[in-house]
Amino acid sequence: MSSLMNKTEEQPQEELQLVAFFLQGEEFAVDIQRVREVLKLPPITPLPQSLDFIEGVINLRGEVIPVIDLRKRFRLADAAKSEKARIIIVEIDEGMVGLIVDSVTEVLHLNPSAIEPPPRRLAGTRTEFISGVGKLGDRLIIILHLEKILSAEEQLEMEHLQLAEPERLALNR
Amino acid sequence: MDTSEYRDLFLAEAREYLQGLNIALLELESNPANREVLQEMFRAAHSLKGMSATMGYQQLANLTHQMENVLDFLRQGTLRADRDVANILFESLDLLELLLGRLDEPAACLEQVDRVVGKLRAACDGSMEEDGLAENTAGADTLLLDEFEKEMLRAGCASGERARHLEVVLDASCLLKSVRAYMVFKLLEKFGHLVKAVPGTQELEEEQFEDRFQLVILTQAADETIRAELLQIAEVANVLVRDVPEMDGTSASLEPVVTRKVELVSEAAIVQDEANGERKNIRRSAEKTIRVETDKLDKLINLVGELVVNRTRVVELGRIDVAAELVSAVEQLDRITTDLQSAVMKLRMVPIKQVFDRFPRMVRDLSQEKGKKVNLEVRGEETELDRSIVNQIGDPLVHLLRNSVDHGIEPPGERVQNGKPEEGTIILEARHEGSYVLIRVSDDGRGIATGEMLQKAVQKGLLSSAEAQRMSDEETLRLIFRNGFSTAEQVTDISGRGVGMDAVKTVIESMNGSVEIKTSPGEGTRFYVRLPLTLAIIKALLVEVAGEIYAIPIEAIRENLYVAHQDIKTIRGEKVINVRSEVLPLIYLGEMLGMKTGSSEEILSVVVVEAADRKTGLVVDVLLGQQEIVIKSLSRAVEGIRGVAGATVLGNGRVALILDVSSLI
Repeated sequence: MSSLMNKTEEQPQEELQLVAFFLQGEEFAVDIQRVREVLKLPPITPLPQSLDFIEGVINLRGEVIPVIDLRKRFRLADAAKSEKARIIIVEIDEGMVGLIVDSVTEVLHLNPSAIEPPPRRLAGTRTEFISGVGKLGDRLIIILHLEKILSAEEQLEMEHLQLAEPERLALNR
Repeated sequence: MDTSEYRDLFLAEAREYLQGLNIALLELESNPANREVLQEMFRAAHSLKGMSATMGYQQLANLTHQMENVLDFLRQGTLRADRDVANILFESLDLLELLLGRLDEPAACLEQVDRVVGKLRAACDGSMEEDGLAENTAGADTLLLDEFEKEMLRAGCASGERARHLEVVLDASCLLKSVRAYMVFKLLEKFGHLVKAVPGTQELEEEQFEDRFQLVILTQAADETIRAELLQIAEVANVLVRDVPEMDGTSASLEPVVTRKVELVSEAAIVQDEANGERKNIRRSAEKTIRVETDKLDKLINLVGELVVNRTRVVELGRIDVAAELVSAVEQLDRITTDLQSAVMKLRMVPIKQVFDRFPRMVRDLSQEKGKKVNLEVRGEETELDRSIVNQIGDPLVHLLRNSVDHGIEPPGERVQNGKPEEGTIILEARHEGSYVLIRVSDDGRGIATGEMLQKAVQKGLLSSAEAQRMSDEETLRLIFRNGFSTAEQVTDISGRGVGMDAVKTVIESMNGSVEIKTSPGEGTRFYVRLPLTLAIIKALLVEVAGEIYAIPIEAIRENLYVAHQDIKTIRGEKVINVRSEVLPLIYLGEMLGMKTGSSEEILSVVVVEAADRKTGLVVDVLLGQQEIVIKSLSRAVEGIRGVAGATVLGNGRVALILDVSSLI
C-alpha cells in the first residue's frame, strides 16, 4: 500500500486514456492512441486457410482490414455475437486490425501510477499479451499489449488470466 | 541554405535531365548537324549545372560545366560532333549517373571526374581557346534586331519615345534568377514597353542564362530614373543603359540595316505581345505539371473507389422510392462519380516513354559491344499505362531487347551474305488494344529454328524424344519460356544463360499480362507482350462457393462449363473431366479453401482456368457473372494466404476475395 503511494508522489505523470471493453465478463482496455474507431459488426468475409482466430476481413471505407476474434484469440468459450458486440479498429505494426469484443464500455482515465505490471504471481502464465493491470476504484482492468496480439506462437491461457479472488484482494488492498 | 529537403526533388529532376541528354546525344550522333538538339542539350547541361551548384554538389557542377562548354562549342560550330566527342559525352553522362547514385560520398569519384573533365577540356582545346567564350550564353554579346523590331523602334521614336538598350547584371550568388528577371520586366512596364530581350523570355524564365541579360525598351523616362529604380530590386548588381546599337535614338538615322540572320522572330513576337503578355509566358511552363507523392494519389484513388461503391447503394435506394427530383439528383451524382473515377484513374497513368527512353542507349552500347549494327525504332512511346505497370515492365523489356540484339540480329557479314541490309532493325512498339496495351518487340534477324530448339530440349532432358516429335512449332517456341532452356551458343553476361526468358514470362504474368512469340526462320522474331491498362482494376468472374463470393481474374479463365456428375472420371484417385479430348483435373474450390462444401447438385459449374501452361477445372457452386473490380491488397497481418491474391469491395460494400489461380492449381 505504502509503496503505491510513494510511486504516485515520485512520478506525477500524464493521465492515460484507455478504451475499455468486456470479454466474457472480464474488463479489458487498450490505449486510446492506438484506437482508430469502434464499429458495430459489419458483414465479415471469412479468410480461408488463415489462423483460426482471424475471423475474416471487413471493408472499412474502401480499405480491407483483417478482424481478430479476441474470444478465439484468448481461447474463451465461443459465444454468439450479441447486439452489443463491437469491432475496435486498432493500429499495430502490421497495419490496422479489428478486434471483436463483447461490448465497449467507456473511455477511462488512468493515472500511470495506478497501473501495475502484469502480476508476477501468476506463475507459469504467459503474460506477454498484457502490458499491465489498471486499478480504478474496485475495478481491475487488464490492459492489452497490442503488438503481441497477432504473433501466433503466443498462447494466452485465459483461465490464468482471470484473476483469482485472493489476488484481486491483494491488488485492491 | 539547408538543401537536404530538396535532395529527392533534385535527384528526380537531375535524372530526367540525364535521360533527356542521353536521348539527345543519340540523336546527335546520327545527325550531328541538328542544332535544335544541341540547343536542347546545352540547356539541359546548363540547368543541371545550376541545380548542382545550388545544392552544393561540386563534382556534379564541375563536370556539367565542362560538358556545357563542349556543347557550347558544338553549338557554335567550332567543334564537330564526331564519334570521339560523342563517346566523351556518353562517358560524362555515365559518370553523372554514377555521381547521382553516390551523392553522399562526395569524394568517391574524384579521380574519374578529373579524368573525364580533362577529356572534355581536351575536346574544347581542340577547337578554340578555353574560358571567356564558355561563359557566353546564346548570343548574349550580340544584339541583332530584326526588321519587325526596328519598325517598332522607329514607330516608338516617331511618337516621342526613346529606344534604350539595358544590360542588367545580377549578383553571381543569385539563386532565383528567373524571378529577378521577372521583377525587372514588371518594373519596366511602368516606364514603357519591351521590344526585345536577349536571351529570349523563354530562356530567361527557365534560367537559361548566366548572370546578365539585355533588353531593348521604348521609354520616355530618363536613363538615370530607370537605372535607379532597377537597382532597387534585390540582387540586381548593376544596370547599364545605353543607346541601342544601330540606332542613336533619333529618327534621322533609322535607315534599315541589313540583318545577317533573323532567328529570334518568334521570341520578339512574344515579347511585344500585349502589356502583360510576358507575365503569362513566365508563368506558363511552370504550371503545366506538379509533383505529387504517390501515397497521396493512392489515397485519393482509394477514396474515389469507396465513393463509387457508395454511389451504387444510393442509386439503388433512389430506385426504391420516391420523388422524381431525388431520382434525377441521384442520376446526376451517378454520372459525376463515374467521370470522377475515370479522371482519377488517369492520374495513375504515365506514358511508357519513361521506360522506352532508356533503350536506345542500351541497344547502342550492346550492339557496339557485340560488333553488330542495329537500328532501334521506337513507336507509340506516348501510350499510357498504369504507373505500377510501367515501373515493372522495364526489366522484362530489357531482356527481350537484349535477346534480339544477342540472338536475333546476325553479325553484319552474315546479313550481307543473306541479302539483308547490313544494319539490323529492332522495332519496339506500344499501342492500346481494348483494355490492354500491346508491346511488340520485333527484329529482322535470323529467327528461331524450332528444330534446333527441340534437339536442345531433348539433350537437356527437358523433353523425351517421343514428346519432342509430337510438338507443334507453336508449342516448341513456348519452350523458350521454360526454366533452364537456352539456345545461345555464345554465353554472354546477360542473355543466354537460360535465365531471363522464364523470368520475363513470370513477371508479365504476375501483372495479369501475357507474352507470345512468333518467328519466321531467316526473317525475324516477334514478341507480343499484352498488359492490362491498370493493375488497380481488373475484369473478373464472380463465383459463389459455400455462400461466399470469390473473384477469378478473367485473364486466367479459358471457359465455363456445366458438367454432369456421371461425366466425372477418376484417374489414380483424382477426379478429372474430358473436354474436347483434353483431360483436365478437377479441383473442388470449396474443399480447396477449407470451407464447408455445399451443393451436391447433379450438374456442376466448372470454371476452366489456366496458369503456367496448366489447365484445371475449378468446381464452384454458382457462376454470378463478370464485373470490373478494384484490387485491394490484403493487410500485412494476413498476407500470404495460399490461393488468395487480394480482395475487392463489391457493390454492396462486402469484401470478396480474389483468387490467385497460379497458386491454386
